[in-house]
Amino acid sequence: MAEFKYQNRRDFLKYFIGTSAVLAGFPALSKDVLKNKDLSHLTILYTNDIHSRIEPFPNNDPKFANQGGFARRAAVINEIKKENDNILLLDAGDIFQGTPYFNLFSGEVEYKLMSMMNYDATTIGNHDFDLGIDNITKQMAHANFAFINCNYNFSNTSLHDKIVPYKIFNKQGIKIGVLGYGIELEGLVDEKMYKETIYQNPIPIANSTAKLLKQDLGCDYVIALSHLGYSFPDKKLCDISMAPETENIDLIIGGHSHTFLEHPTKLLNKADKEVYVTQVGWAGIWLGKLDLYFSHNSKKISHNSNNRKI
Amino acid sequence: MNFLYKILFFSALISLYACSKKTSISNITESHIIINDPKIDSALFKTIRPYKKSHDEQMSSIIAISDAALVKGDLESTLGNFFCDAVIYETKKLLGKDSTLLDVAIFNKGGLRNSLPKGNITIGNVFELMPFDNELVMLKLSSQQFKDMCYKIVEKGGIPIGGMQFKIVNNIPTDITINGKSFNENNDYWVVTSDYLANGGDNYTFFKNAKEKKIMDILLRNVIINYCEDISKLNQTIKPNLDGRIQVSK
Repeated sequence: MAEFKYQNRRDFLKYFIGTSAVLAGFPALSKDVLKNKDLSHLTILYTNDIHSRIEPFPNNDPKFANQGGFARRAAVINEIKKENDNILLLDAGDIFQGTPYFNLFSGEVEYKLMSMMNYDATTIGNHDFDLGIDNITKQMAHANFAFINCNYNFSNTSLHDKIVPYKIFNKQGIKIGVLGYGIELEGLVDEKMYKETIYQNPIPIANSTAKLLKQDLGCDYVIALSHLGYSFPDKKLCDISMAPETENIDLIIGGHSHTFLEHPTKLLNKADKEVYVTQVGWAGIWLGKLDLYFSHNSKKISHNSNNRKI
Repeated sequence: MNFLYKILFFSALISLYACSKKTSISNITESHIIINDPKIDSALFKTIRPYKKSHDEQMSSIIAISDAALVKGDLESTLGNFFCDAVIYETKKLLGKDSTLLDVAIFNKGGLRNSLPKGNITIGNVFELMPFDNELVMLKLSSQQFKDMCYKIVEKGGIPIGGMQFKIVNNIPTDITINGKSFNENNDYWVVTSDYLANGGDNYTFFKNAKEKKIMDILLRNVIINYCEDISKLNQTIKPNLDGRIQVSK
């Protein structure tokens, strides 16, 4: 599925020289590498549409009594870390709005707690604009995780230098590329809230970003944080309709439609490769978990075209 | 082989190994964890505490009692009906002697963000039901715009409405009655809604072309809080009400 690819001689040499230098300096490391049975294990944990649910639902809630809550989710994550400390913790947007904590503190509590939980990244959901785009910018002072989106043009807004189109996470030797995209804002969010944010069709941008991550930057696995919604009865773009149009994306962590998926939906992309589409409802009632096991197999040198370049 | 040669030899070997390395996924397992274990992270709990104190001081006062839980649903729902009836009651109060002007209330299902529990209803519950700072707006619709609205309700599979009734026959709204009177092509109708829908939100584009618009200068959330306080003063409780305002006929 995923493969290290050296795009040019320079990248290869960098790797070659780096590895040699490290091994020459620290002979002990060579043992581990030579074992030739190295299997990396990465645990991806994810949420979507947390909607300011700081505390668990109260015990008189008709639907979700005593479920959710940030301090409980953090305790669960602590337990998972004991089993595997190689964790990528992601969120698919709509962190804001839904409890008075947001009305009273404007998102400060949500970002602070997510930072304490060591979230790696989120994307921007439509409700994150609810107190205006400048409120997102302001509250980011409380966040130490990445905000990823590739299909909103924020050039003329206060978020212009605060959002990245993608981010690569090196997780114990595994390179994970994460990109993000959001829903059409017109007709959904009041214009005075999103100001001069320009929505662009996410399909071509997501595909070019994923290609860059997978093929040029050598990511082993590419994840899209999507705030489009799982599926809609009308023809609106959604995760289910977009996944078959994508290439180089392995996993779509969705949001917006508050869909509780018992299992990720597996679809085929444009290149007939499998894409997982997943979503865990809303309000932090569920924590999604995907365990990836990567093998680093040696191949016979003669069979590896990359080596002929030397 | 002396030591230096050994290092060079192994470096070269390892480098060749490294450049032939192929990372691939050998296995994927997926699951989810339901967050219902009361065990908490104490650092997060401590961080939440001062915010919670301030939150609880402002949100915990009880403003009404409900006989049953009010939840969202298809076609009509106990929550949607409660919301619309409460808005009509309070809007008529605001209109005073002009209260007969108002015909219908309409909101979007997505705007009602949480259920209301059976028993005590707090200010916090109403904040969670209606967290948005949306304002109350009245719109005067032409009969055609009113019809467009009815078709939209059908298209959406029923949304919260009050003050009107109709049947859905083959996806067409029929037998529309407004305040007990049949829909009349020659009449204009006043509806009360949120500024979000009035500005064409959720693709209710026809609302943007309404014949008249009155901004009521009150937050929807405060309308609901006022209603809860008003019925409590009358020693009444909230009663779930499903009256068949939207029906599907086969």
